[in-house]
Amino acid sequence: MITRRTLLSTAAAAPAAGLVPNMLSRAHAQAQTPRRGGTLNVGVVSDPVTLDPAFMASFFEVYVFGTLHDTLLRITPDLQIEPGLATMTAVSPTVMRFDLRPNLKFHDDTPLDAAAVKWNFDRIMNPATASLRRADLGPLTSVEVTGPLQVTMTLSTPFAPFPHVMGARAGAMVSPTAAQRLGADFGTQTVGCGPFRLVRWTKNSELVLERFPGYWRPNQPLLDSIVYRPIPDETVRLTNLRSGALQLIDLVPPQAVAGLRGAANISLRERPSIGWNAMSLNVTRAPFADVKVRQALMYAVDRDAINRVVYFQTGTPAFGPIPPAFGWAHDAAFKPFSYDPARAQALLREAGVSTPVPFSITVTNSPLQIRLAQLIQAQANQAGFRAEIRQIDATSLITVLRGKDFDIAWSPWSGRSDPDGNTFNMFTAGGPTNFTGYASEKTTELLREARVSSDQTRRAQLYREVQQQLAADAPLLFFQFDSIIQASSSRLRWTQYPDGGFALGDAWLES
Amino acid sequence: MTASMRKRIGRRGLVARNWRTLAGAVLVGAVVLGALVGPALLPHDPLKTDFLATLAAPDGRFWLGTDELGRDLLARVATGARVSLLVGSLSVGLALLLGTTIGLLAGYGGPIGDTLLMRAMDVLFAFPSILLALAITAVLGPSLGNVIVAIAVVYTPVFARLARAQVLVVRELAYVEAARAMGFRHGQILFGTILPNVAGPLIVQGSLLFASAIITETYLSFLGLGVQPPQPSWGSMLRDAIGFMEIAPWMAWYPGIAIFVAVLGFNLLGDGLLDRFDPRRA
Amino acid sequence: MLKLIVGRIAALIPILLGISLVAFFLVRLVPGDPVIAIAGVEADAATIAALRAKYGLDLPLPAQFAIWFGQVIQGDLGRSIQTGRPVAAMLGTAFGPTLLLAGAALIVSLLIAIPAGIASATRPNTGIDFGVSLGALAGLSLPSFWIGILLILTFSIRLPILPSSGFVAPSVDVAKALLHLVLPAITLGTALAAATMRMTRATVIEVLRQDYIRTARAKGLSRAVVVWKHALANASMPIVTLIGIQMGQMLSGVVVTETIFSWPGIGKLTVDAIFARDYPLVQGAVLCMAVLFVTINLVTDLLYSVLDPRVRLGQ
Repeated sequence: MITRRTLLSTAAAAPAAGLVPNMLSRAHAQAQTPRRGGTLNVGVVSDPVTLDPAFMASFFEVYVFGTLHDTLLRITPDLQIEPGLATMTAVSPTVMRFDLRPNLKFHDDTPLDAAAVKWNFDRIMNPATASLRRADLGPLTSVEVTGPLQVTMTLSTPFAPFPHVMGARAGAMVSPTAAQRLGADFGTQTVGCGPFRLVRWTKNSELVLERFPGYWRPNQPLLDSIVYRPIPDETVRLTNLRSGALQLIDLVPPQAVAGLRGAANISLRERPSIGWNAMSLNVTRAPFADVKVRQALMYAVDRDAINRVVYFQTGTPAFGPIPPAFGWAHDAAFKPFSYDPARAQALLREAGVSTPVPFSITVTNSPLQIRLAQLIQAQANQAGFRAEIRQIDATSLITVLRGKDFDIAWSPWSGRSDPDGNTFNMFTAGGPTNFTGYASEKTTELLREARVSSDQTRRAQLYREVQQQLAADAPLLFFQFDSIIQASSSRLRWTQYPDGGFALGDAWLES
Repeated sequence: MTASMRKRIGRRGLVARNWRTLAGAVLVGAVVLGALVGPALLPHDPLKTDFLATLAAPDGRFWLGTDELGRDLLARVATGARVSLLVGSLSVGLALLLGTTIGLLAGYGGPIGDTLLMRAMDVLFAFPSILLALAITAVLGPSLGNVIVAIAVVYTPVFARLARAQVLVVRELAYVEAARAMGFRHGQILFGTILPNVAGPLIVQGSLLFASAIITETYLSFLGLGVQPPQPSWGSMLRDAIGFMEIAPWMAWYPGIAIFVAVLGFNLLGDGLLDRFDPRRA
Repeated sequence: MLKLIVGRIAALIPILLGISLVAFFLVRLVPGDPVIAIAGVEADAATIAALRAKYGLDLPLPAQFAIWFGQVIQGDLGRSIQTGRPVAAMLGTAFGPTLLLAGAALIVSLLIAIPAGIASATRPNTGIDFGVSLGALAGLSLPSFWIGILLILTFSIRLPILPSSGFVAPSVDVAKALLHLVLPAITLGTALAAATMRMTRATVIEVLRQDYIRTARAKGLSRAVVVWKHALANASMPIVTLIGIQMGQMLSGVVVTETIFSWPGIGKLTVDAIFARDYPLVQGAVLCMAVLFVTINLVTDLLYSVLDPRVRLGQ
């Protein structure tokens, strides 16, 4: 549901020995000219739910988002903003002008002009559409056509992450003609403007895209076609990569990383992700209404053990919501808690609660989460708690979180390319994804300021203060920053992104 | 089922004297013994984690190796036997009770009650059993008790149909007529006279369903709907094993072998008993 | 005969209505809300309410059932909440792979069961008989998901010679389709073989005792001809019946096998739909399977009455 971490993930450290030959071959490859042609078979965890960006809510759509769709602005792998379909100019802190590239076309050869852009925003802002993107647009109030290839957007307040929103799902443009013609079938037969267009989609079997010759970027796309195959089992995905049936797979299980380092013809790629993993603590009821009890849990859990046993030493232990992928905002020295069961017990005594303190750990029934829950349970029980595990299925998780029907619950975040997307909705009082019930005036104030500030140094400072406040109030038990771990045939040249997405316009297969 | 067959059961007794029954009894006995004394005698606690001994291959310390949290697999397999036996006996027992009651009432009662009850049973029967069990467990929430209830509901129509069919045969027989003529009340006739005479096939069916109940429980636990962690069930142990098939294949071996032994034991036992009732089977 | 068929079909209607009701309410009793799930964590209350209205889930339950059932009678199973696709189309796509898997499993089971059953029947109480009986029971006792795991472990991981997941349509590539079919068909076929083997053994033993077999033997026909031609032909009826019964039961095996091998059939579709609370899809799939189940039962009964004159006269 929420993120890829429902399943698994990875390591930042370069797997030294095994990667050397791959790096050499890559350096060698870069000297070659990119080759056109070929079919890329991609093993993914699950089918997307929908191909229509207005309704995308599942993690599994990142695989097709960058191939089928293109966005007004582009977010680079280093999380910088570049022009995309359009160039953005800030006329004022609340007025943004977008100038589209000339001669853009959708996959159905209809023109992508200012009118089409306006139609797209009108569609997602219309409450009757029930688009999940409406909330992404934040303080956007109007989109006006100010030229054949120019639209002007007006915000009600300054909104620092706005360019990032225009580089993500809300900034993806679909063909108005096709959307009107297809109606309810648009989600399965989506017509976008990305480097590849849809050929056919057989649910749970294969999703086939082909090269879109009208794509605007020079010399892209290079591949003739892409076939996505949903393969839920991680071991099976890996086996198919080894056998050559697939040339690219997502979510290499962390326990397989060590075994892949020496593998011939396979290139393992790891990159710090933009997400975080944490358990939400329900601060609205006992026992975690008491900040001392929450603090006790922070000291009771050994994050290094979690990193070792659950994540097989991939990724890094986490203490807050700003992962290493945000070079400008991440604070590597921030380690407010150590593993200290004695201190946990002392805090419980200070809190004056009778021990052991009973609580339940709500997780969904994925093996990784159950492994994690059992580890937290074993450690909490050593530190004055009495934990029990409650397994639910993934579909119930959001209902349980929304209903605050938990003591602590699995609530990871797949991340956004700006720290605002990793913090604001979860930690402001009454925020839409604030499942813990946490309401701190100070945190809310800091996050509001960070959202409207245009000075990156100031924002970095504010997010550090947010992390410190979160550590003091302890509404969530942060424990892991994942790495995106993916693997490909060593013949494939491709760009890895920190959200795990595949944007394969520039990908090509060596002969 | 005829009266003569009933006499045969009485004469030979329910425990058949053939190799199948014997082998079945031995296997079932081993599982029961393992479940009863295993956890007490074995050196390791099935719940004790050891993060320095995760995914250890079988050796002198951990005879069947350890799982991904460093827990002893032998102790967990033995504890899992308790879960399987508990689910098998309670779910089949509950289904036997419910199904037989429904079947007796349907077979002995009037045509309207018969139609209503048996159509309801037909509806339950027309669902693929695994989906019905899965859906019921999903409704009730994952727990051992709910798995037992779900399996019992799935098996109830089997007993109801069987009991009704037996009653239809038996109720016209002389001794039931006699009881009726002697002025016995319906309840006495139903439970005092008819039930003992239709019990044999129900018990045989029960022992065969015991085996399927164990498999169903392991499948539900495999899907995460059964017993809650850290308590082991053979099914949840297999689910845990899936992600480690390459680096710790022993995790997939032993729980599967345990299921196989237990289920084979009950199948042999049931099969041996069935031989006592089916003259076609030599 | 016609009267019998019409009567039997008429009797199915209340059962199918009952199944529809049970499926409808059971899946709605499962905690968790499909709309909240598809809307994702970030959706606000207004969006969720709009989505709920879009799928008609804001209406009272009896009204929802009436609307759904009314559509079903007109042949419209509605649209999946999760994917937005028409349920009938999703079931149609999933039906082919399931049929292929079931057919292949049946062939696997017959290839194992008929020779083994006959070998055992013609040599009762020998080592072969004992071995076959034990093998049959062992086959019945192996949980199919474990067989599936072991087959994947052996043939896809240790000796990577067979694919362990996915489906390739025979229309696309016959060789690949067969390769993908091997492990799932063996997994499902093994469980079916056990029961067929037992039935073959029992009926062949019985047939071999009949007078005409003794006559055939006395006339000097070879043992093989007698067994394979006469005995098997006469034993075919109970075996056909059993296969019919098994086709019904096979649906459970299909569910398990398809989830293990990610086979895009009806069983996997239904399990996924239950987990996603995709109400229209669960209802459509359960109804479809129930229709299949009762139809197979009906056909088996009719076939039985065609094959066995006593039954026909009895009716």
